[in-house]
Amino acid sequence: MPDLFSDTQPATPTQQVQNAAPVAPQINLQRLGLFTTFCKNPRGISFAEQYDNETIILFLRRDFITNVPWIVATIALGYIPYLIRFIFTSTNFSLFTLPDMLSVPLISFYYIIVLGFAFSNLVSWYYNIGLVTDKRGVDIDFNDLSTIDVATASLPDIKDVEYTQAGFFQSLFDYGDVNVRIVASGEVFSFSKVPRPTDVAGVISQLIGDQLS
Amino acid sequence: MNLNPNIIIPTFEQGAQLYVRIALLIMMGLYLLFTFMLSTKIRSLNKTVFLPAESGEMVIRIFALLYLLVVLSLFIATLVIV
Repeated sequence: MPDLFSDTQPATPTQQVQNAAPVAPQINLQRLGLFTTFCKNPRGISFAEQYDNETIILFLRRDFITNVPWIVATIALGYIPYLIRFIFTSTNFSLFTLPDMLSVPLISFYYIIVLGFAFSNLVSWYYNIGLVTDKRGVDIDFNDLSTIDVATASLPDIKDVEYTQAGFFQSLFDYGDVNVRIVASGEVFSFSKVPRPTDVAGVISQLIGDQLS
Repeated sequence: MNLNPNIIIPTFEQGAQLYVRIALLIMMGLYLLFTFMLSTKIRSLNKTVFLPAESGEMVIRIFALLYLLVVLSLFIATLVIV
């Protein structure tokens, strides 16, 4: 009868090689997509002022669910001209009439503004990026379409890492704020509304631990 | 009461249309500036962080350029037509 649960099996050639010399862990680089919000070991990304030997470990964006309000608003704004037309025709109300020569550019301009609203929100989300490298944390903020704010905090300067998940939606969709406190200034460096804040805080804590040891 | 028959007093409707035309052209001009600013910001952000082509960075850049061209075309068309 064959012995199924024996632990005295002979080592395979692969195991012998592993025992002979420790192999460096293979880093599996992940592909970055248009809607990627959390990516460990991203492939093909770099930033200005990155050191030659600096490796990006974590790529973060706001969770995609945070885009729902502006997507809903865009759809609602798209229906407003129909709604106004419906109200005016159903009540037979007319303040003044616009010729087609004027109403066509007016309606086109309105929809261009709606498209611009959606596009500017998408761009704002797309370029609000958080990066964690093996040397520092980098937070790139693109606020109000006019301000570009790039903040960095090197790992030895980080005092502690904490994350907060406040409210029903943040708990439901697993996103929250990761706050990194800096030793010298006491300022808080924040990755806001990022997905899987537990993992993000864990990765940063591990990197701080590696720096200390 | 129109005392001078050579002076044509516009009706309320004509006046309203004139104001809509002027307001539309001013708003389009301002919006064109905003769109230009947006595309410039996108270009400058692409120099701050280099995202791979597969991440849709090129799509955003092309869309920003197309959007600027559409707004510019509409502004010119409105200027000519209206």
